[in-house]
Amino acid sequence: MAKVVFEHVYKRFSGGVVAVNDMNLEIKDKEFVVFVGPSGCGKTTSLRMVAGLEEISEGNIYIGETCVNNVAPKDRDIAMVFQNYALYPHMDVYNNMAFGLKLRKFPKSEIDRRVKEAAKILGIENLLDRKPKALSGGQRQRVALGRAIVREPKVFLMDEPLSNLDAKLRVQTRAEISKLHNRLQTTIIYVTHDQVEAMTMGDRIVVMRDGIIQQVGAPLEIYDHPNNVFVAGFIGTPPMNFLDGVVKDDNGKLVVDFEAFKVRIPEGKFKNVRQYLNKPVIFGIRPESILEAETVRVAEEDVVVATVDVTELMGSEIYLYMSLGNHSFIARVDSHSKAKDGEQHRVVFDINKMHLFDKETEKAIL
Amino acid sequence: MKIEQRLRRCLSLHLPLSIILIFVLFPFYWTLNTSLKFERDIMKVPLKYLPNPMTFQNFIETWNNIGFGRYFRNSLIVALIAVFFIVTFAVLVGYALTRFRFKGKQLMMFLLLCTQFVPGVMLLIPLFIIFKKLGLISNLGSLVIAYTTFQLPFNAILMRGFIQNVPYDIEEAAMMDGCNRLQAIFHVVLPILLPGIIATAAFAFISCWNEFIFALMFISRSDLYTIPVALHSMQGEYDINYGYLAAGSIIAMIPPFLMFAYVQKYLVQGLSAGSVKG
Repeated sequence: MAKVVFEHVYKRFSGGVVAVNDMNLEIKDKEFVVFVGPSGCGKTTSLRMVAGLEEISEGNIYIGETCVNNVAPKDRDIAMVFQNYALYPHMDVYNNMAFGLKLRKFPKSEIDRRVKEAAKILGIENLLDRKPKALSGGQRQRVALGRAIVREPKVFLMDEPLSNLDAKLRVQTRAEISKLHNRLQTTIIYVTHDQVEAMTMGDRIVVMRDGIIQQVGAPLEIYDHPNNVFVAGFIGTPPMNFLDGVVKDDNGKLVVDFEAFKVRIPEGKFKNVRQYLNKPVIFGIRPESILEAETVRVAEEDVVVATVDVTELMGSEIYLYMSLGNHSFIARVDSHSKAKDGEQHRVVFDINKMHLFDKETEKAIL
Repeated sequence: MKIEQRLRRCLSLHLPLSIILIFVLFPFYWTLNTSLKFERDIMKVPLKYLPNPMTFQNFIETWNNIGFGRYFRNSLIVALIAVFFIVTFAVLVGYALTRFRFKGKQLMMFLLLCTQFVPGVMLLIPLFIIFKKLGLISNLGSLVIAYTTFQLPFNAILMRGFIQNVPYDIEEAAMMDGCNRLQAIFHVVLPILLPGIIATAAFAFISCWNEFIFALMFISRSDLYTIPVALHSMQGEYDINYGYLAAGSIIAMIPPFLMFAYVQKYLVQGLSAGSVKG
């Protein structure tokens, strides 16, 4: 068990591509940190640099107190779970799990104890004599996890370990990995492009884009207070709605003017927004913060009447794809809503949960 | 309707295939038939299509008196040593071409392919001069060197196809588990590569076993003949003993025959490896 520190880490590939750009991060001991971002954002490269499978172009990576820049992967005392499991096809499950221990010359009895214990935790005791080709995707994933567990490493690295599983199994395994972390109490760095995995599993989330860390924080903190438009749009399903508007003074009150309608800015937030008076901004609001007018008591001036283009019933809730003027947005409301395709519907933007971003820098104002 | 379809299929597919099969198998049958006949029966008219009476005398004579045992041993030594070198180097070259990024990699691939365009016969005289200077004429070592050199490019390309099919993640997983690169190759890559190695070895063995021109040029001492040269030498100017020649041919066929029977499935894999992703 150990902390992992990135200190001004860069990764440059030939051809001038900068995959990781000045990464600074401290992952605490026993913490479950998720690197999330779109393809090519540098999350896997960062993980591979911790593993030692990718050289560091500049900067330092520490595992515990040791700088591991020049330490071979085998000597870093870490275990990795690969996206495609990477099981050894010529070995049975037992030997797949025991391989790392055998190389480290552990006594046979200790190897046997650890493999059987890990197999018990993962529920694969009955599969120990099978070859990987005789296993299902979910079982292979468990073996890959087992191979990492038996080593009892300082740090677990997981590179999109669930992306090859079907949706149902993914949800199930997601919970199992979280349980495993609680049980093992080991530092885990988990890479995924799936923001749902990031939100549900991580103690902290690191959102990356183009090799740069956009925001680091607890899941709810990132969800409620995104640093910029990218983070706001990436985290959350359906994504946050973004509408281009201009901050205007409406009889002493600040509003965001969208031409077709206006949204009031809460008085408590005037101070931050005043400098943007008469300037274009990006207004952001999460789909669940757009409420049906009938369900809340609000002044008539705050009601927005928009056309429902499409409705999508999700079971417990319904997504309303709405448009007004040049703007379109999604509202997530109760499935018993009376909204109908093609009809006008009255909604209210919950101004206490609104976000404003600088149009140029895309950084959060509110 | 169905009968008509069957008939059409029979005439258009099965009949031509059967004719080709007979055409291909007839020389084998005739060689075996001849090798099992007494000498007086071989040229007897009318021809006998079955060896009746049958004898193994041709085999015994060929093996013991003509010295086929020795030629067989020579061929086996040359082929096995050459195959060992070919496979070892092919794995190393194939691995480097698959896993490493280095300057001139494309050029090297191109050169490897180019070697396949040059007929071996063209290089006979230069090679002969080189081996003569090295004192390797009439030395089985010259054949091992020549076979290894000529077989390596094709087999390295073949091996590259196999190695490409081994996901690099598996090697990385081995490195995370505690291997260095060499250990990862030995513990993980080679066992996975085994079918490919067997296929490559079979290709190489059969090519070495059947090779004639180099063996004829570089070996002049009759006790060092390999089987193809020995068969050739059995054709005298005035006299050919067809019984011995046929028996020798059958003996020569046995190792490739057994090898093909054993590695057939790997050979097909080897030919298709790398051609289709999956």
